[in-house]
Amino acid sequence: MRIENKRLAEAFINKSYKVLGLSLKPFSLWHLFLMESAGSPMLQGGQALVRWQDIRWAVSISRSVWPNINWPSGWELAKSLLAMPYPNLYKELYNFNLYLLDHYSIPLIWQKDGDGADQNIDNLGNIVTITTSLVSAGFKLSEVWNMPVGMAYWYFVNAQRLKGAKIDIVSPNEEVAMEKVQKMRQQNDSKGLNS
Amino acid sequence: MANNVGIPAGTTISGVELTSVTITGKVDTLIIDPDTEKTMPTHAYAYNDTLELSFEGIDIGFQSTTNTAQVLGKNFKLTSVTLTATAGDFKKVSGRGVHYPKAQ
Repeated sequence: MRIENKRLAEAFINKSYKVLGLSLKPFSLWHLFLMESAGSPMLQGGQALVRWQDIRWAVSISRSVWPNINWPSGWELAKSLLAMPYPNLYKELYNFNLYLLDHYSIPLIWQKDGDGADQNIDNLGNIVTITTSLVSAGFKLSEVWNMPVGMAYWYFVNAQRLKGAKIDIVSPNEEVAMEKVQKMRQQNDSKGLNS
Repeated sequence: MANNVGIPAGTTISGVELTSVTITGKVDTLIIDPDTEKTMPTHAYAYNDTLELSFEGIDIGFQSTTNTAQVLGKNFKLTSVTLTATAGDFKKVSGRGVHYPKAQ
């Protein structure tokens, strides 16, 4: 049976990534937690200024395995900079964003007004809520923290549904319609119709 | 009788990018009791043929003044269209309509 939901498939099927010449672990809840704690500009989708050392720190975090933190020492930072006399920051940043997108394929959820606050993915839970939920569902703590983010969200949302939460996930044909609507909006924007 | 017809060609509701369409057909029946024991009725009438439409879609500027939908070449009178949920800047709408075949 074919899996129709592209987001679901992407959450469970990931490629291997190298950034700054270093192999990355699948982007996990632990990595997300560390980067959010550090206020990493790498998570701000191009809205923040990113420096070379931000990429290097993000790469180090993305090589960590819970509960360890793989902070690079000053010497390691200097060494990796020396090893790349002409680092192409744009290319490395682009590759890191691809890596994030590949592992951050979380379910899209329809949010209802008023009593539907529980349907908002942001309200459904922070990282620790997700971790607690998955541990209570039978996963080991180390499995959960080292689980790719997208996969963890899909397990979490379905665990909530099994408990009776009414969560309306955007269906594959709705996603197709959304893509079509998005294209129409872009065409209208380019014609200046939405201004 | 319910028939999920997908999105057949020529199905349009102005201002809605449709994601699902369901049509249900029904008739009311009238059976005349023959007043004789162990005898089948001789007259049964079907009347009030009705096709009921329900649909869902993404809002692309639905106007409350829109009151008809074209499905399978038939004109349905819209009885309700409501915003049910949002995802980012997309709005999900669902609605109902009705068509009386004998009225045309």
